[in-house]
Amino acid sequence: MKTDHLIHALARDLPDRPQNGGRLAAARLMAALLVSGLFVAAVILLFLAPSPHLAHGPNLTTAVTLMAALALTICAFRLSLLMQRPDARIGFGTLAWPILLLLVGVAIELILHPSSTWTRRLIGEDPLNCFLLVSGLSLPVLIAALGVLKQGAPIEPGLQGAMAGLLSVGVTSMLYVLHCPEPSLLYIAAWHVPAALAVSFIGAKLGRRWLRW
Amino acid sequence: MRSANRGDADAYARLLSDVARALRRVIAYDSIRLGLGGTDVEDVLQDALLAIHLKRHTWDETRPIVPWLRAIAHYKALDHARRSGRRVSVPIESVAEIIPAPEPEPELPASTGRFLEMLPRRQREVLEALALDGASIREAAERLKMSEGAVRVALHRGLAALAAKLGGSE
Repeated sequence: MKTDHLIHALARDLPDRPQNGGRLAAARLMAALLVSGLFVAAVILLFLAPSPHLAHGPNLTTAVTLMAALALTICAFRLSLLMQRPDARIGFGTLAWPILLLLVGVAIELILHPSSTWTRRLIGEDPLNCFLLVSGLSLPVLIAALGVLKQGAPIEPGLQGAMAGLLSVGVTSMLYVLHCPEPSLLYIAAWHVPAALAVSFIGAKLGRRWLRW
Repeated sequence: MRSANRGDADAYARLLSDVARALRRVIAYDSIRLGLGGTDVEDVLQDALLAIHLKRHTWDETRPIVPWLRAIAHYKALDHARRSGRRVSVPIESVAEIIPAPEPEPELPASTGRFLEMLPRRQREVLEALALDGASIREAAERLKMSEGAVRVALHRGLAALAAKLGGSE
């Protein structure tokens, strides 16, 4: 095929309506997160016991967890969309915010409680279960996000996938507050963060495979 | 590109020709850096043009277009090198002799022909009529006894499938 002929064919392939890429991508990603998030919330509400702390109103742990997860979701959402453009310059500095929030929360907790309780707070009742649940419940959100991000043109498909992984853990961590029986931020930091890393690793693997263009 | 996004096919064709000419140099330079052969340049260029077309919604109209075009060309050259599994280093002496004046463009090697074979029959026929024979949408529609809308749809799907075969999977 000659390049001129290819150009000829491409020029014939213009749709009649103009498209607005950026906003459309944001709306699609938002929709995918909402739908998959509702699904995950439904699974948590139907199959997992509700958190015993919800009845007593917000405490420090839930508040900080929600804030950090929301911060992570917002940052990862913005960065994911930015990475869709091949010419974008990306700084990852904003990702420090959720980490900072979590660390401040942990520091407050350590100050408020005596050091003899720290180990119990760190290990909790069933940490492996929590790690697996958060990772597993993030996967539907991750798949939905990758489905939308496939429209874009990331020059680092692996990195884009990893960012989608962080995004999905952010969404799932917010919802997981509905179930999480542990009262400790130390515990959240120790077990949700590895879950986030694991899911973003899976996201990177999947991204390298699915998000190439 | 702005006119193209409003549906002006002629402006779009002119733009793509200009882009092709400019990018051929960029890609030729990249190919040398990445240790690709001379025939790869046209491969990468066509791949990049397809990507520019299919991913044009990722260009932000308020930004300059050249960095966007270059980013796509670089990505495609790198992707090509990665897939052909060649080493990414070349002695600098060889650079001077390989940089040629832009060649009178060669035919795409047999690979695209083979990929065309793998497309569904309708998409292949439409692509052949438009890209190989240079027909217009209306001529292709008459020749293949399809509606113009159906030709457009087949063309779009065929281009997307071609890009997937050239770029995504082995």
